[in-house]
Amino acid sequence: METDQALWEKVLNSHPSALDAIYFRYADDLYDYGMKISNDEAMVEDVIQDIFVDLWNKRKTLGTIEYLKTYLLVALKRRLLRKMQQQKRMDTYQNPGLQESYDFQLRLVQQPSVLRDMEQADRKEKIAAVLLSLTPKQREAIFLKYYQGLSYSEISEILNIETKAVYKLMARALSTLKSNISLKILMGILILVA
Amino acid sequence: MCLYIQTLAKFYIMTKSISDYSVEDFLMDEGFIDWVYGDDKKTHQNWEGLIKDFPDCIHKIHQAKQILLSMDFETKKMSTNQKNELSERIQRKLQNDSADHVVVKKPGSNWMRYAALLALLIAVGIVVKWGIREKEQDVQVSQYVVKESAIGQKSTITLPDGSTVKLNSESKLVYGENFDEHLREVELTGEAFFMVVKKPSVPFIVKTGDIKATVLGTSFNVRNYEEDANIEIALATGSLQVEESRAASGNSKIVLAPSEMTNYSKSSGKMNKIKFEEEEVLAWKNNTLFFNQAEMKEIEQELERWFGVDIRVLNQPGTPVKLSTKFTNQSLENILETLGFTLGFQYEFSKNKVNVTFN
Repeated sequence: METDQALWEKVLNSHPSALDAIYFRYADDLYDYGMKISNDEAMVEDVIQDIFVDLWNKRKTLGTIEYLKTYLLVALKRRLLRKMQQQKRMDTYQNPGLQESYDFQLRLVQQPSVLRDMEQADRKEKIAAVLLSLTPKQREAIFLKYYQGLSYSEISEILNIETKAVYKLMARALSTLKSNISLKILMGILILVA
Repeated sequence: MCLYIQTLAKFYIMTKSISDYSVEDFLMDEGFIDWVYGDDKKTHQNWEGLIKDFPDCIHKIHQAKQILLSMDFETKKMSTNQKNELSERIQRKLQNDSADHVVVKKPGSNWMRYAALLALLIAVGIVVKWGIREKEQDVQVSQYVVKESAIGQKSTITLPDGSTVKLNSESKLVYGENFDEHLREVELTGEAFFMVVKKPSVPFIVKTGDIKATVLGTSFNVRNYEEDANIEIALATGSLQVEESRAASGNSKIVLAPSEMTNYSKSSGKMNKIKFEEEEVLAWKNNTLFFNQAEMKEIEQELERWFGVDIRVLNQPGTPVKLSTKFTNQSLENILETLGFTLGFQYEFSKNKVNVTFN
């Protein structure tokens, strides 16, 4: 498989097939990430289209892109947030200011009840509950780390915060997660003992 | 030992030793995450070693591992159709954009008019220069021909030299308009069966991914779908040479004889040579779906591509599926009926979606 760099190099040399290859490599990731931010299918598709059209038209000015996937995720998020803002303004006829507020929808896959491993199912239920109680940014960091497999510095670029702040964000989220899981296990044991 | 810890923990807290790690520290350590999720052999061994060296940590490591493994997030996917449509939308937009540039819009400012005039003069200059050079060196300015067969369809293409190509579903063949003059070169994504007209002076080259196959006159099959881990080139008749297309010394080359095929690993770049069963590899061109020890995922993918539908498997089968069978000229409904009976699942159709539920 060609590396991202090799593909991008080809785009810079004006090979349209390389742009197509990049699209098919990342379409799923982009769509999924976009839907977690906006949950508006048509909007997400429009934005993905715009990103790739711009990627091609502006390739000469973009030059080298070190981490293509991160670049695409950042571009997707910025545009989505801008569009959501515009829509909000149109819906409510007021200017809500330029804060970056959005929910980040992160749920766990639910297994059909027949095939459940009870311990695992229990753990998942707890994690799912904790995920809901976290801040959207914490959820997003967890998703980018564990699902997208990005490095802390890449996540810092997407969240637009310092790498150190990403550590802190994750650490806080994980300690909430950990304490909730252990607490319930402990309570379970106490109930059993009693 | 200290060295160990530092390399593993280098992304996170340099000063902390593994023995002081809390569950959260493990969850944040990139080496640990890779070990749980990935198959990176090196970190694998390191962590296995660490568990032995720090038996006190086993409980925490176990807990962290369980948490990581429980995090399977719900993901939203585009259907194959949706993805292809969006790709086409992008292509169309790009074409329209480039057309817009040629059209000179409403009279703009003066400098724009001058710029346009200048561009026109340069263009004329280039065309004139090309004309002259063409006489001298026969330089071609070629364009590309793109042949595609959509998902659920197959098509047969005759190339300008008389060679024929049967294109499997969801596959694309690209060649220059100058094909046949000095070179016979095509680029393939997806799968195709080639029957190449013999022409000893002009080799026929198929490029796909990072490799290319060179032949003089023969018939062979090339398979390279995006999701395939390997590129497969299988030779039916004649002889064929496969090599990496990047020009570099020490490139490995493989020469195939009939009923031999090569497997090129897209990740490692390694090539090998094995015998293949014609009935299996070339089945698709005779409208036969062939499964050999296929797992559910493979069955799902093949059916989706073959019939252009979106299949969703809603639960996991009780025992893992290993299917060996073939279907010739069968409808999707017949196939699902048969498979449902043998593998034990129910299915329901709605438009071009199929939901599969194992009993």
